[in-house]
Amino acid sequence: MAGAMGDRLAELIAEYDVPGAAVAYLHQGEVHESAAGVLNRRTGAQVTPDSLFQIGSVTKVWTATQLALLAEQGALTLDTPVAELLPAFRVGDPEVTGTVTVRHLLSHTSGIDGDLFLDTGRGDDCIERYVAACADLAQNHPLGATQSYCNAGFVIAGRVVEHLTGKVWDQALREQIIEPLGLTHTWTLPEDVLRFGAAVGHVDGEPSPVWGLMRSCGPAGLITARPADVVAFARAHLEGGLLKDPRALWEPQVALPNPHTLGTHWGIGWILDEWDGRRVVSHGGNTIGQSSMLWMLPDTGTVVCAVANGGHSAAFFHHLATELFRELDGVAVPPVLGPPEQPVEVDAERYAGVYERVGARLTITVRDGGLRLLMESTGALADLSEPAELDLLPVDDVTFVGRLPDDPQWLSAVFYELADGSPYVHMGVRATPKIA
Amino acid sequence: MDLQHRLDEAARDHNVPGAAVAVWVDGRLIEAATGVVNRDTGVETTTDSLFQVGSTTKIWTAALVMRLVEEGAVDLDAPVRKYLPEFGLADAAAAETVTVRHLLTHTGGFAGDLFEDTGRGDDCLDRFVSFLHGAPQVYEPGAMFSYCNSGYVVLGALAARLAGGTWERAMRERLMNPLGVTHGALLAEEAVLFRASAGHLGPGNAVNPNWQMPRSNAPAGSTLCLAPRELVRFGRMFLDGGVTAGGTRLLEEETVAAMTTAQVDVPGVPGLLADRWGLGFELFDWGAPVFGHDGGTVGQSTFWRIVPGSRFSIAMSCNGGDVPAVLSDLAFPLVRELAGVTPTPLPTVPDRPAAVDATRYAGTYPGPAAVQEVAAVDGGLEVTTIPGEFMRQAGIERTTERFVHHSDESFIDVEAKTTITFLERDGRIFLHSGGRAVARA
Repeated sequence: MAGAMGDRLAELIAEYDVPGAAVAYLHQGEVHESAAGVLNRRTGAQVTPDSLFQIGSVTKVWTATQLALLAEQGALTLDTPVAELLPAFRVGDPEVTGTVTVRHLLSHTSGIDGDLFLDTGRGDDCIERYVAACADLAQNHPLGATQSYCNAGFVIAGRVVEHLTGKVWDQALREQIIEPLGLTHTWTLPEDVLRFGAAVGHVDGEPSPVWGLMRSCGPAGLITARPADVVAFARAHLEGGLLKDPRALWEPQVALPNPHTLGTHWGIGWILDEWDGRRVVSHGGNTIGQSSMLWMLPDTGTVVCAVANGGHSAAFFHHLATELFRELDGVAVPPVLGPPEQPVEVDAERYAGVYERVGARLTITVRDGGLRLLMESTGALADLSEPAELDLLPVDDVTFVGRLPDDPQWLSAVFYELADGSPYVHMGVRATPKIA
Repeated sequence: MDLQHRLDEAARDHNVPGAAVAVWVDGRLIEAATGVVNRDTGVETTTDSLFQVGSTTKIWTAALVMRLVEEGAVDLDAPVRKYLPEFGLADAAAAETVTVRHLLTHTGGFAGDLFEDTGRGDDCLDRFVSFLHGAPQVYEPGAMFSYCNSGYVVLGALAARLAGGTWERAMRERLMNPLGVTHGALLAEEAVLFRASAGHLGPGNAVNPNWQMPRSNAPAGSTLCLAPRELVRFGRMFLDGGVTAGGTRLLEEETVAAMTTAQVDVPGVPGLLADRWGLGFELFDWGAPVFGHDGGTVGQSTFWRIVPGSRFSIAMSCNGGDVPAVLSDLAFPLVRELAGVTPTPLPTVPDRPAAVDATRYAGTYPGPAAVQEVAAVDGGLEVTTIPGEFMRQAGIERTTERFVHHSDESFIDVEAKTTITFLERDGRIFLHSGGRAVARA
């Protein structure tokens, strides 16, 4: 199955060890589709353009859209405190409980510990139970003080949708977005996905023994869809058909301390960036061995959605975007930030120390005049991921880059201080405070 | 023997989108697969593909219960209430007297075809048991056989409660893992890791838009998916007196004997359904003892037989098409040729059926899944089936079928060749159809 990209998609997945991938793009009013590889290396079933992939955190834009729809209907404003919408809502900090708003949740600025992956069962009460468990969540940073990626915030936002609509999140999603847009290949539960060809994630090249994340994380990342449906969703944000004012979601809400990872700013749900002088509105997603990217260029009207079920997906997506946007729009996608050609001298020692948030510890040591980073998961996910170590090379006074072993993609870290002077590192779109 | 060729032909001749078969004979496994698991996706069926095995699941649930009997945790003749204190029925007296054995042998007498969806959560079985508080009683517990899905859900809830956890966990830990099952799924999130078959409906074989039935009927057969080879693996454990292929004893020999010894007769004309039932198993006399079970979900069908005297087992699953024809053309001949026993042929319409005055059977028979209206017409019967909510959702429409006399109190559908039987108990007339008894209103 080649499709609109000819053999190129098959070549790219081979280059990046991706088992299977599919791409859909909207260009000059027409949707084009491509597919290559296999859904599952064990079964050998082929990917087609109609195959369903987990789009992971791209789901967050859908959840943000649900809230924006409810806001347009007058059920809330983005600045309504969550506690007014969900009377039972509580987090660890009582002040935050009372003042955190929907806008904070949808722009990842609440400071609520974001990586709570709590399985509260398969039942329709799972999100309600998850949000009840948020009562113990600590603050990663003061409310509104910086940006740090917050899955928990989107589950809380999903609970707001449930409370306002009286429906479980999945059903509200169907009625608010999926059915009005006529999307036939967009689902949230595995029993619905099974009617279609469905990708299985691959970890270290092998099919994952577990298909998906716990249902409680639904509003943060449980949509499974074909790329053409994701493109249709984005098209409604560009051309209308869902929200009266979809562009309100692209208004920058917060500048990212590290502008080199996914974008320069966060909007409402969306990530905002600039390529070659053009505005880019995007989101990506990662689940258990599955990854996705959705990019929109409002200036040209082009939308691309790519999905993959393993391999070096970040590098694959970047390569794909670089080729596609050059060909379609003549837009140069900037390279991922790497080390400068001429090494720079910076005073790196001041950054050495331990940075920790719930679920993750970053230990930075000085080695041979440069920095060495040890990344460890702690808590519930500690058993699922191995610690990783990499060298950090300076790009400028505050910016460093490094690569994981066997991964072609550069990662970046930016050291910075909040307004109150407390030191943080921003990496992987998360803010982590220095604790020692 | 070219199993592959014969399966390909049978599937093609009888409009079956996809099928797979596994046979244990002469101490070895032979397998074949044909067609596609899903006509919309075109993914080909392989011998590793999973099918919804429907009510063959009841033997797995029965085995879970029998393990608890062996452990002394369950007494077959104790009331269900002893283990599930909240168990209740519309008939309060019946709720107190229904035993575990009644449920295993489909003799509990309460409405059996209740497919209430109590959600996908781990509390679904307990909620289903609560739902049964409104289940009407068709006859006094123990009075006769009437196929009872609801009873198997109760057994699943009982086994889960006593094993501590969900039915799925008990299945995995107490049966599937010890047996060495590799190609099986209890939940949709497990099935999606495999080539998993979808059901196909109607002559056009449209893919069933609801891939799975509700989890609340799981212990009766709504969710379990297996490759045919795994049912054969389970069957071999019964052939080997309760010992798995890996040499582990899963059930005592006496337990296997009890499960395969007749407990109750099934009224009516023997055919695809057995004429006697053991503790879970259907029992057939095909010239030698044969046991097994069949299963169906919405659009998928499974046939499973074990012939102990021939050390033979067969499992075959189809995902649509004319399954009875595939059984007649392929499965029964395979059993005949490879196990040396003769399956009871499916009933046929007599060339010259006797004209009988059937007015004594006429009337309305309201069942939980459908209402049947019986009228005496032209020396035979006309039966109008008015589907209830669940059957309507499964795409079944109101139909009227013509029946002629077959034998004794039994009549046969001139088109579908299915039989119905009337019987009298305590002055009431019951219609026995598809293994289910319904009392006349």
